[in-house]
Amino acid sequence: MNYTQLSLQQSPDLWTPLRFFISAPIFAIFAIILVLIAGPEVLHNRWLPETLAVTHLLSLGFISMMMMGATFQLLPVLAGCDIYKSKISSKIIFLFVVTGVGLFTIGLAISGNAVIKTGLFFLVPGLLGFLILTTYALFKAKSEFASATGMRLAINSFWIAFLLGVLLAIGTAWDSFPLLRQLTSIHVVWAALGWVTIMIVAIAYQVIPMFQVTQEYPDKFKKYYSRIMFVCLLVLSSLIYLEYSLQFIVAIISLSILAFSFVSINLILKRKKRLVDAGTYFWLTGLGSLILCVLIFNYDRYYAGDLSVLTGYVFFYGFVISVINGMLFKIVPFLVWLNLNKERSRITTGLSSIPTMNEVISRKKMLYQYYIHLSALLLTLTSFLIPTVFFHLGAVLWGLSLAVLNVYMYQSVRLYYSVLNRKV
Amino acid sequence: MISISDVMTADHKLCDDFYASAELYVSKNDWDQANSAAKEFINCMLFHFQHEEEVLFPEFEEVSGMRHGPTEMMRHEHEQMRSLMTELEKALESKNQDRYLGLSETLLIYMQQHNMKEEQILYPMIDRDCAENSEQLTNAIRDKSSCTA
Repeated sequence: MNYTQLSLQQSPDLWTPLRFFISAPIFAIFAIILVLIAGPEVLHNRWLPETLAVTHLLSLGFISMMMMGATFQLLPVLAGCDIYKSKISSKIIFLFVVTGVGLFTIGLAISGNAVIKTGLFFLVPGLLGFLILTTYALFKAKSEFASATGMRLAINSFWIAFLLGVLLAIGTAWDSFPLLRQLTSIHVVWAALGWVTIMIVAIAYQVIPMFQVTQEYPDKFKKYYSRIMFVCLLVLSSLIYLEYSLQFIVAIISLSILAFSFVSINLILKRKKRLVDAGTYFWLTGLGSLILCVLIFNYDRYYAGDLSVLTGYVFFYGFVISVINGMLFKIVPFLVWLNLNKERSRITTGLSSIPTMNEVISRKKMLYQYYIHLSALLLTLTSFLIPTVFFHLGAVLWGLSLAVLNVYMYQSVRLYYSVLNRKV
Repeated sequence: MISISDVMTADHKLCDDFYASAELYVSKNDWDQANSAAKEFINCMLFHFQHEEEVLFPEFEEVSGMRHGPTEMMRHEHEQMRSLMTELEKALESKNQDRYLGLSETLLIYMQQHNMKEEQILYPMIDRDCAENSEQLTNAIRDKSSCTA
């Protein structure tokens, strides 16, 4: 066997993932400012320009940026392969995506076609670059492990969501192209359930047993879950396109998502690491929200009919943002420690002068931020029922929780440089 | 038949168990129990490294011809973990709870990503390349003083 392609390196350069992690919350804060300006109406109409802008600020600006950073960080570890020239390629992709998301979402918010077009000029090459490089790296990896398979399927889903998104954006911004609105649901399916959910599931296989010291996910579950989900999404999108009944496939997908949530919660509750930290709470909040999201979605389908924004909200904020927030609290302090440790010979001779993970962001600080996050989640959920009372307070708390998260990350970086520069 | 992967992965899980109980005792300020659990954890880790460095890696390097590949990186990571465990022992001696928990959290993440690379990439390679000597190798590992002994 040829091992020359194999990489067991420790981790990419600090800034390769960090530039994504540190910038993403800013887009989410912009989303919250836009929500506050637009008022409670954004909670009930998914087609409002502001709602479209908020959705893309969160899905592209926050979630996808975080997941792109995590992909640069985790691919060498999970699949044993490097992304081509990751130090420089991550920088170029980052610049294109940040500029693109900024302009694209401003364009959506003000319904300004010229701004949307300029945004696409940056966003499309940025995302395309990311997709090509990760697809190539995963193709090279030849790893048959569950996480690598899950990551491949998540990246394939991102390709589909991306291509459909480009078609929709062209239809929106160019009058000469038709706007194929029926593709919107298929675009959302691949972005939310494919790219985001399959990727989180693939990462959960590794990080839940790792960070919480739990049993492994059952072998068969790990082997088949992502594949089944991917096939279900193919069936679902075909049925949506053909306008056939979705009842059966929606039930299967709902049950699959519930199965993932319950299996994961069960593992966490039976974890060996009994010392609870914010990371544990974030996972439980995220998985609990995922269950709630499936319940609301199905209730909405059969009884209500106007809860699509609430469903999306519980998915984005309750599930995805909780899980990402919790993982950042492990990844960022570890990266600071790891990179300082790499520089150890330059800065000092002893390990004792390098801050441990808890000294980078203390357990107590993480818990404070978790409580703000949870309060914001509960208040914003309540605001769907009683908008006048809780809408503004919930949104402000949500912004506060993200601002605090970002302050912690800036403090971590400052600590990194202060230790690094201490005795050079 | 039990593969090399199975034996070595079971070792990782055993170290995890000891890790978790040491951390719990430290968090409760129960230093006597913490001391013995942490010692079991550290011994288990050191035995495991020894099995790899003295039995498994040399055999794999011989068969594959790769002396500066993945095994070199794994040896380097063992050194990093040994340093962290030395610091853990100092924190235990001085009964410094914050320091211990900070170090053990750092060690946990380091150790788990190291284990993941071994379990998912290196051990399957060793299983494949050293298939002929598999039984001999697992016996040699068991003959050496083990964490379960």
